[in-house]
Amino acid sequence: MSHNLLVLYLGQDTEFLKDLDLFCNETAVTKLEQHLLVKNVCYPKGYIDGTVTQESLKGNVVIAFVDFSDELSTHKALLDEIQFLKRQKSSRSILWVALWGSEDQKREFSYLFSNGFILSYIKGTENHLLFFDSFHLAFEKEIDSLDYARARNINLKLKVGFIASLSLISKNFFTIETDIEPSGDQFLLRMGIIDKLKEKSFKIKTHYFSNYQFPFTECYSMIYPYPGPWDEITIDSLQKETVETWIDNNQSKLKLLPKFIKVYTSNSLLLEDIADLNDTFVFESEDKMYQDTIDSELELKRPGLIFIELTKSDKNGAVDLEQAELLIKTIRKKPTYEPVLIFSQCPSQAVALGKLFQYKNLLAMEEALSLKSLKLFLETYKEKIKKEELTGEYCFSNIDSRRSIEIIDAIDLKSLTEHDVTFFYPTQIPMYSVLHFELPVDFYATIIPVYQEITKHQRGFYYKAIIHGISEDAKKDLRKFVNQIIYKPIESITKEVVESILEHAPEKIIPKVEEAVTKEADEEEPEVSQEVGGVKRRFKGKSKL
Amino acid sequence: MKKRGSVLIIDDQINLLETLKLTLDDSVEKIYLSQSGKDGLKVIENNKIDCIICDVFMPEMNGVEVIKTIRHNNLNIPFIFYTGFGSKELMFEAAQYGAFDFLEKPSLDKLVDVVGQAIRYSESKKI
Repeated sequence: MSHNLLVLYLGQDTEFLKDLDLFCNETAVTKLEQHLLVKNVCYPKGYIDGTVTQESLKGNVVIAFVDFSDELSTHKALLDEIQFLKRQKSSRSILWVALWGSEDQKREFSYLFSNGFILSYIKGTENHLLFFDSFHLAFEKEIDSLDYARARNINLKLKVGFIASLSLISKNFFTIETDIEPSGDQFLLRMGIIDKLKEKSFKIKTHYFSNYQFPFTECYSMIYPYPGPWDEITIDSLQKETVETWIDNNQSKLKLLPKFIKVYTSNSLLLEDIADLNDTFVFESEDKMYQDTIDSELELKRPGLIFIELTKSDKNGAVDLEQAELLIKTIRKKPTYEPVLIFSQCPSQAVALGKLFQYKNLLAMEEALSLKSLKLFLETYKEKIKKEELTGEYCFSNIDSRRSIEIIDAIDLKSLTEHDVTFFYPTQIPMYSVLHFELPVDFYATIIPVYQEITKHQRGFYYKAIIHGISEDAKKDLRKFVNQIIYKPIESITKEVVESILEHAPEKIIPKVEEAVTKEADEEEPEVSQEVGGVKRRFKGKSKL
Repeated sequence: MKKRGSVLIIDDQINLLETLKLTLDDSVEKIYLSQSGKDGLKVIENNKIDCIICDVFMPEMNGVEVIKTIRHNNLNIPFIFYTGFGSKELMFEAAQYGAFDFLEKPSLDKLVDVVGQAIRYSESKKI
């Protein structure tokens, strides 16, 4: 890494900024042997400048701390911008960290995890911990994580919420996005829309290996449990009218699903000035197509316009048309789908390409795609889609908490400290996925790489997750709980068990020492594998960044 | 119709060369005929050419090799491939170097129009 990497702080807390600067210039610079530049971006009321987008698209930003305790009035626009950056190849791996001012704010802003944030902190005295964790996640091995007293060999089932997002709702089905794969054909969902749907199992209709929103890796369309004409009405049945009425009554608060625009280019900076069109279009840029995902991606998102920047394949000026061929072959498999394809840096005329690929809806230009031509195509397309019929498919705004949902499932809790948790789960979860724990105390946890070869255990995988989004009081309780169960193992984790342990725990607690547990047998550690772009991320395995 | 531009036709079949020449005689100012790719390249070296009509399948040097050599010499002359639609592979390769159009043998329906467009395109590039 030769260029200067940036750490952004979006907020107005000068003390925090000072601490961050100090950490970057002393601790981080020594450990990483890499100069890190801290840049402060303030968002005055109602105003968003281009700094974050510009620096992010250049691929310079590693971590961005966003301070929500400042009551950033522009945070809807900011979240739109983050969503936009998450969809672009060059800025996808930025680590977004939310800073909250209180426990109330944490509840209010829980939807941030559906918007690409993977760490959160309730601001307090432990800034150094926040920095260690964030830098540990961003740079992995370079900055060591901290050690704490660990309760091992817990081996108890614990229900947790895997963060997911409700990305589409219609009268006949809805779509969720998440990072986990089901072990069966259904998910138990916790949703905040209709009372009857608060916590319910839904059958999966289709599993897409793509997504509407970039924070997640998997996408599922789900079926409402409508009873058929001859089915017996049970407690699980859901009347179609209930959903239809709900959608009709809430239409004003819902958004029509925006149209996708796909841009294949090596120049992601091109998109810098079109982020403002985010409400009408969802832009995604990649440097190339991937054979194993293109089908699922087109099936799900059906982009109406696809820009393809052709690249030179030899010194005689030939361009690579393999990707164009792959794209058109994939489109042809979908009978009702015929997007407009726009080839730039193309030496052939559209008519020649049309005959070659036997595809009518294509345009070709010799020049590289420019902002001017891009905007021109978008304006024309915008006019065209105005005339199209409404699809009846809606989504929620970025700041609508109803968009944020959880998939409830049990993990096998293996070990616990006040800082991290290890567990076993039957299916693969990508690194940096976020989980919500309600017990033993309320916190979030993010799956981290642990730098050991992850080998699939017979029945599943081991994971380690860093704890965050925890208040000072909850942390004290967690410390008490851990220290108690180190010496006095428990048989189940329920609200009652936790309350009883906390009630009877002595006030004086064991200090944060690893020695206290050395006599415990070492358990099997999580296994991880994989190398991902951006900053050197050297673990192996699935990752969402 | 006002005659304009210069066109080079490359095809190994002499009767086809003559037919194409006859078709374009009324609209094109100057028409060069070559029976092989190599001869065609010599014509290009010594003359100002606005458009090339070229067969894809030819002995010795096929249409793709011709366009490849021309592009290697940084000449951006519009290239119309007049071909049977049998070889997808060669068409694909030709399009990578820049094809103005593919016209299907033996139809002559759109030839005059397409050549006219190619000449205008060529002239517009020179301005």
